[in-house]
Amino acid sequence: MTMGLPVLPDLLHSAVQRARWPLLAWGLALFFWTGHLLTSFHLSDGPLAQGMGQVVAFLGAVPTPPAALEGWLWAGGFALPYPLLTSSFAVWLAGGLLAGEERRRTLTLLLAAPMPRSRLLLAQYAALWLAMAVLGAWLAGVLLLANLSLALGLAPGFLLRAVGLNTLLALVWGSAAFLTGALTGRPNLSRWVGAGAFVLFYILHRLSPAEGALSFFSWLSPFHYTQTSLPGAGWVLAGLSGLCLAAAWVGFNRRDLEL
Amino acid sequence: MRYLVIRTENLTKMYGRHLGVRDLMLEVEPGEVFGFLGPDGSGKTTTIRLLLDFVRPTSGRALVLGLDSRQDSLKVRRQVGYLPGEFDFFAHQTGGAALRSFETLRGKLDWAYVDGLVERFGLDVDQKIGDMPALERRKVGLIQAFMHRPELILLDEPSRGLDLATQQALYQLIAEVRQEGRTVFLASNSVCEMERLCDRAAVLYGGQVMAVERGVHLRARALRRIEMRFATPVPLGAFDALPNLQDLHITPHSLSCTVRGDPDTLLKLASQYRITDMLSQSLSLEEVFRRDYGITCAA
Repeated sequence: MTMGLPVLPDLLHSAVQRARWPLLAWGLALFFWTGHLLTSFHLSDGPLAQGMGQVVAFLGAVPTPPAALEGWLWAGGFALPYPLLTSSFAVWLAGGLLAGEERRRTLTLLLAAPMPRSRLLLAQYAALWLAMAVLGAWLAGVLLLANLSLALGLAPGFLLRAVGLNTLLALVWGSAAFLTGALTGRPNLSRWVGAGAFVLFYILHRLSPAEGALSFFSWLSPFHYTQTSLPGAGWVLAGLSGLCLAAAWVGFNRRDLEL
Repeated sequence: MRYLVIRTENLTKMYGRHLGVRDLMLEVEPGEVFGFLGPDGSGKTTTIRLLLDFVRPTSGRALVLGLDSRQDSLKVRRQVGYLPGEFDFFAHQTGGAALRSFETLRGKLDWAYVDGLVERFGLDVDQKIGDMPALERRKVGLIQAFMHRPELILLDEPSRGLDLATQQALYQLIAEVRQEGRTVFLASNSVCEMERLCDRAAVLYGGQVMAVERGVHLRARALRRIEMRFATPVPLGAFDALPNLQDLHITPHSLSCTVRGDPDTLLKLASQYRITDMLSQSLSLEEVFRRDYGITCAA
């Protein structure tokens, strides 16, 4: 036998391998929703557009008029459907990473080998970012390609920024699920916490008035920071994920492991 | 203070209100095979997890190879081999890749020795873990526990899921490790395994050590249920004089009893008659506990 293989790629490989079919499914869902969204705008006189218009009106929170393509894409994509799709994937994946491997008892021998807990945690968290980067790149690619091929005239910078913020938002919920997994070792609980946080903060975001004394409530919601016009929004979202990671680090290093 | 491979000082672990182990005082000498005998839920695995710093003690402390199990946990784990009761590998790896990946964490290995272990256990290193039956996965686990020639090997229910041939290979390996002066800490609920392998064994129940027995004493106190059938009638009082028989039930053509310790005298006496059938069965750990310690194990 020859010199050993590094363990970190094995951890990443395992996580990505488990996620490959769901990643494909979520990627296809994003593709078809985007296709539906853009086609309905393109055929703006048809019944498809009327149906889509109702969706847009329901989603609301449009920074530019929905009549403009940018606003249409925002309301029909970035306001809820894209965050819903990407965040659900992030939460599903994050719940199964550290907590899932602990439950499957694949960590036992690695920790005994010995691998420091913190290194294990970072490797698993890196897998989450890697998978989300792939999903984000896919969505960006789909939008940029549609923009080019249909000559939609959208600014590539707007698209990239919107997709980037959307991916960072999904990572916040994924990180919340990852944190719960690191603290409890329970994959399903982690997913419920991630999903619950998404729903709660979305409601907070939607119910908070845009102006006035109570408008600061909307700042508490990570959804507030997906607005492309807000400076430093990406840092806020990345910072929230970082806080979750730091808490996960502390919690995972301190708690009893069910190995 | 004399050097001990494992020393626990009032080691206690509570899981909320549930007791893991209480005031554990263990002393394991270098070069011995030390057994940790107890039924499921008695605290065997908790103790091993405490030694490896997977769980943190509520009070007390453990020294492993002279190092504090908490402060020096990485150093401890680097010098210890561990076979958990339950574990898994990444499914995409082959058995060989899984073993090689441990070298990254443990440092340079003697691959001639590892290949010897692979051959001894008959492991197909090219098979993917995901395609392996449970027995083959256990073999990978066994090999990784011994492959770096650790000073101390912790085995948690090592015979679980093994076939007879693999079990024999394991027992032989444990004997060799002992001859080399290394130490084995073996947790099991099998009295037979303890009798056969261990120099000493701690008997654990409800998170507390009830006794520490030498292996010869375990053998002397071992209980076997024996049943025989005879072709010709046997006098009803033929076995009454044997002191180590319990629950003796005899008819002209059959005998059933419990033998404590060595069954040699019973077998010699019975061989005077023509035996047509015989069954020998070790008593369950629960039965041993009931008879020796007056403990009724919870279901």
